[in-house]
Amino acid sequence: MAVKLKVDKLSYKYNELTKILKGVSFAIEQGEFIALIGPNGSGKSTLLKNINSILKPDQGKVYLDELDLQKLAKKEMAKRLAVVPQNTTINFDFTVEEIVLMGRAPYLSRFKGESSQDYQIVREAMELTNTTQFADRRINQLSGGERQRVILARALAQQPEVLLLDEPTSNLDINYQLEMMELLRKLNREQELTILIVIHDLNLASQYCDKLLLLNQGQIYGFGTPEEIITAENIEEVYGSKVIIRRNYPSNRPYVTLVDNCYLPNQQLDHKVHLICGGGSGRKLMENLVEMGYQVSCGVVNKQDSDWEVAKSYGVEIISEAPFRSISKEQHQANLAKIKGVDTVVLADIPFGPGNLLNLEAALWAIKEGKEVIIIDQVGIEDKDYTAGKGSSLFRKLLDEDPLVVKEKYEVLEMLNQKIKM
Amino acid sequence: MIDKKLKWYGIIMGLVICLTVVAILGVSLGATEISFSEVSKILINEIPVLSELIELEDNEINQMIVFQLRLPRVLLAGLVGVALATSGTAFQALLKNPMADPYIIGISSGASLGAALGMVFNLDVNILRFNTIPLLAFIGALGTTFIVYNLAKSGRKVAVATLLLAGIAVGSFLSAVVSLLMVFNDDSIQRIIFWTMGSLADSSWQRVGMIWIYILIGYVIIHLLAKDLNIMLLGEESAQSLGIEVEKIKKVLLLAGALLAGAAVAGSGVIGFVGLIIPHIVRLVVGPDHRILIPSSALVGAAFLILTDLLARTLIAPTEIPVGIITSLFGAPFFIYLLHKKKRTGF
Repeated sequence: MAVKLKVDKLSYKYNELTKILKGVSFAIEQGEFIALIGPNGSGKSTLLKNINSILKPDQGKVYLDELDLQKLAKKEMAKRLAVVPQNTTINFDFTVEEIVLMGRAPYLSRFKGESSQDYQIVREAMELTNTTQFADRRINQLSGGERQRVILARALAQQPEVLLLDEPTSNLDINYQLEMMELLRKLNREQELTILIVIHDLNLASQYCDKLLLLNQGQIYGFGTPEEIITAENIEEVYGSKVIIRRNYPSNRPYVTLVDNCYLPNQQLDHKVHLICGGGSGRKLMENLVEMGYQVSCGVVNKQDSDWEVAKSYGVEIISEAPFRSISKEQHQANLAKIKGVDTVVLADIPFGPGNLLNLEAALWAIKEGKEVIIIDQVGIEDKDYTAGKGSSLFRKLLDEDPLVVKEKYEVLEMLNQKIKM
Repeated sequence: MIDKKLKWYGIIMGLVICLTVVAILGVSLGATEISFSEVSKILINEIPVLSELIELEDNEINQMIVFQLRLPRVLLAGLVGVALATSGTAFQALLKNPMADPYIIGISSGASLGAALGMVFNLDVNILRFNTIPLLAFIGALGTTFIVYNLAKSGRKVAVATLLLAGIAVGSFLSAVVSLLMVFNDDSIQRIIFWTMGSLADSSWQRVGMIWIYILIGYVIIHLLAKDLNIMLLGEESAQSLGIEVEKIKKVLLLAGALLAGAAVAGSGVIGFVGLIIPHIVRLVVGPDHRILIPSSALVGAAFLILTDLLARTLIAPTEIPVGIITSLFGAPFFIYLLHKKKRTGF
């Protein structure tokens, strides 16, 4: 696919002290739907204004196809590039149709009025944005979401190749936010419109956009698919906040969940807990343990497993194995070495197959080493043994060593808390 | 769309007829009353083909009153009305603020200083068709616009409240300088009052000839920018992304607005509030689209000033009230009403 919009080493400063953009370069291909994300003050809106020449870059160029946008006449630019600004309040009594008709301005000469063709284009733009029914209403009588769609219709009436939007969803309630994003995706797919949208909501960006451009302190921190950009490490590095990344059903796009700071440990407890888990069996407990301040480690867990992802996002030490591989001798040994140094070992309510039988061995080894072992067992070993009896016999051996057995996760927390108080 | 165009033509035709009636009324009423039909006949008699169709009574005194006294006065009032209403419309759109008019933001006072300096130093000369007094008024208006605008500007934004305050302060200062100038030049207080309050008592064909061309140029420029003004109401950044060369248009508009304000002041002194209330009232009726707002405001402005001037010279005749007093009597309460409304609704 051909490059549609190219930004080349763009720099911009408001004054000598505050450099807003520092050599930003990227290229957007024809028909892509890109989100520009980044924290407040990272330069998103400034970048947008530099692209459409409202601000003059100090250095660098912006190309639309082969055209240098800074040299292009405003009218010519308006035929190719339309903008939906952040603030769409209009204080004058224009009707909706009159507002949308203004989108035809770049095509009109000074001495001529709108032709019937212009009206046709305006009608189509209003149909696409579902604003036809407001045509004769006054713009300032509409709700925020409706007005936003009218402004989008005006941008479409410009018949642009590229559409820039500056936080079009920030003032809308959740219903209008989705409606706006769905509409943009439809335009992107059906009209082959190339779209660049500044947006604060990482989940909306991840859900709807092809690629994300993450801006940090005036520089590009990352540019790629939502999977590549929305990671706990990136978000913590750029936004400075702890998040957990989940998968949004059914799109499977990354979904950001904030971790409330008041649940983050304000003090480290002098008690090490090792969690034997996998397949999502340990993540809830892991979250709680970390939040309460325990020094947590886990293993052996397969990479990309949901327990692994939670552990990653919390910075928990992980003994890991490659995805879908059986636990190897090396990782098992590493697991045992880790267990040796902890105060408590917790065996989560995991189903056992040939691949993770060694985790059961690890628990048995721990209890023989004299470690305190807590076993969470809700369903009974028979129902979670997929090893034709091997797991069950190991589990029974484990029970013979008289470990602490509980049914619920919270009981583990209660036990540990009591230990700490003593 | 066709309906809209038709409606617009209807509005313009209606206003032209109103203006004609008001103008004839303006010519017919006064110390000597000349009947409406006689005035019509005298005027029609001057039109080549139509003059064949009517019979004119042979009243030379009435004809002289019409041509030498009343007609230039009515024309001057009409021209000044056009100038003030049009520049008011332009400034309100430019500053996206319904409080703006050349009088309130001090531009008229600047023009007044320019014109007064010209008169005091006898710089009243004609170059081709262009008289120097309106030119000096224009320079004064432009200079004041520049000063007030920059006083109000902080960063990239122009605060409306600051703009009004700066305008009022600069305006009062410049008016005081004008008055001082006149005192030192042994002029009568009478003349100062008539100049600073605005009056059409000094009207003459010479005055009309002095200002009409400036007003024509200023009006045509603003009229041609009507579409751009509509879009600029959406905000400067939106306008830019719709292909409007905002900075260029702003400069041209300021120039044209100052030209009109300058010409108006050179014609009649400082007449307040016309530029404020006329665009406002007209906007309430015809809507915010400048393609109809500008011509309608111009026509209503002309009719309004002809009427207020008629009041000014007939209310307590033979004493004449400066017309600016009448317009302020209407305008100031209206301004207060606007401020009040803005306070409540944020306009």
